[in-house]
Amino acid sequence: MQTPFKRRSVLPGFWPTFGCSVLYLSLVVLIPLSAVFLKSVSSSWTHLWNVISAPNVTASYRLSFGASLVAGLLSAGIGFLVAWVLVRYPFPAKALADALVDLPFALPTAVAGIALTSLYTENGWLGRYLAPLGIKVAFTRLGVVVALTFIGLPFVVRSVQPVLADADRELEEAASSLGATRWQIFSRVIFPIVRPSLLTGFALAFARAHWVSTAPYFYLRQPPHEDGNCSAADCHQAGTIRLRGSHGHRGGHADCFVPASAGSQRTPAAR
Amino acid sequence: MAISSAPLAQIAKAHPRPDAAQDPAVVRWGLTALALGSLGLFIVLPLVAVFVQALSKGLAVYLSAVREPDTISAIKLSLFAASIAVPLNLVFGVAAAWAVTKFQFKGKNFLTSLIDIPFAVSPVVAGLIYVLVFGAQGWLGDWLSAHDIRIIFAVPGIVLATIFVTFPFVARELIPLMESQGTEEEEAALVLGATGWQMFYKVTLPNIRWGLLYGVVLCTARALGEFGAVSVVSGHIRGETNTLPLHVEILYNDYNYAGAFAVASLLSMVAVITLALKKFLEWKTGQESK
Repeated sequence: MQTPFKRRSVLPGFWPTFGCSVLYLSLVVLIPLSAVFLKSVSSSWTHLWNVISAPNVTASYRLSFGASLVAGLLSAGIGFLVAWVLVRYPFPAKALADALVDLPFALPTAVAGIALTSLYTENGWLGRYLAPLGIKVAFTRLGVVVALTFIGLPFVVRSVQPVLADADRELEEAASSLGATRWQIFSRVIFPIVRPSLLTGFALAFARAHWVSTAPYFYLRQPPHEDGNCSAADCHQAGTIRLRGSHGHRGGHADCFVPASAGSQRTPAAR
Repeated sequence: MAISSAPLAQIAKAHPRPDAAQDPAVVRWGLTALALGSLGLFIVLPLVAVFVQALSKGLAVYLSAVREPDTISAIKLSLFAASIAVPLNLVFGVAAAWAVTKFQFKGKNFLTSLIDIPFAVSPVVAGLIYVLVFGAQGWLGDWLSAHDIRIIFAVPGIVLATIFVTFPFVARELIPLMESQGTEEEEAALVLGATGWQMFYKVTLPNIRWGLLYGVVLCTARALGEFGAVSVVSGHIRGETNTLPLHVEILYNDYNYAGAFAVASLLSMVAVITLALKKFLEWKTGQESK
């Protein structure tokens, strides 16, 4: 007998809930999303390639991927440290620190952008100490990295924290009784246990950094002559300006197609 | 000669053996200071900066910036979009979680992955897809302009974009929760004679209420703070199609820093309240599971 679509169950309400969910999902997500793919596919391949490989677009990919990579590594390092301290060491107001870790997740990116910009401009609270050292943060690539680190931090901490909390203390005690130093215990016993979650956190932070373009958007508005466009921001400008015009709108969504497919390919790995 | 244990205990106290799983105090406090310092630098400082900058010209300027008509209409629009998106996604989330967690059917995991799509898509792309469907050159563009219905660059487009980006929050929260609760309690209720709705209201809902609230809180916070998707569909028409985050951008570009930070402080307060609610609900869920 062929396996049925649904196993028999006594609970009511499957078909209404299933039907409503699929209907809502299709209307809100699937049908509009397919519009991007279909419209991109409808333009010729050479046109698509020309748009994707235009110099300002490739420059924006370099900035976007490069900054996200550096920011991902930074968040991974700082996030791991924060998760370690939160899980293993006692200190006052720990619940407050734990709640604050989620702030970049809750704070709108527009607010984060202007806050970070104001901190790192030359008379900002932090910028005024960095300026004499010749380090410019606001309106530069370094600023983009700082903003993306801010955004990626909670992903790393929340990925590593549960795994670290669950790690068995008995393994450490066993290693210690066998003569390992603290560093050996960390590098050979604890770290291999949390390494997958650290990689997951890094991947999530990298992915999120890559497509949250709005915070860096504030950083990059002022000096117009650097090739400093985040790819999604560039797409935003390209998309909206060309869409409002009467022609050439396919270019706008063509170079959004690449980040979209890159983004959707990345999440299964990040799970 | 009897050997009593008291001197032994004293000796043990005088020479404490290092705990095998404990790092030396220097390492502990050093790392703690470093971690808290980084948290302070990267997270606390920007939050504090928003409020300090907002109040930098005094309370009167702050209040007048918040009471400006454009700001008030931005607040209204943000609240309106959230008030439509959140209930719709709430109903969807509960329905989807019920279908996915209480039944076994083919394609269950596929459906769950589809629900996560808005999470994976960049916000700018999210806005763009609605422009492609409803915009002037979109699929429905001709039909809409013939009937003089404006969706893109008007309020309905903003509501649609907000619905899209907050789509998975409630469902994502409920699915693991209901999965872990299983079906026994509902089946027991049915055996005892409850109707479907009675079973839902008296058995299922009380079990999931904190997770549900958590999902609603996240959904609302995201709806109020969404920038990228709404920015693409809105047209930035001051007083009409500006939400709060977009209004921050406009004020900032006008070099009206005090105003921009004043509006930003409103959003920050929402963020802080969201965090407090999250912590409270997590604590409640932890209590219930004991």
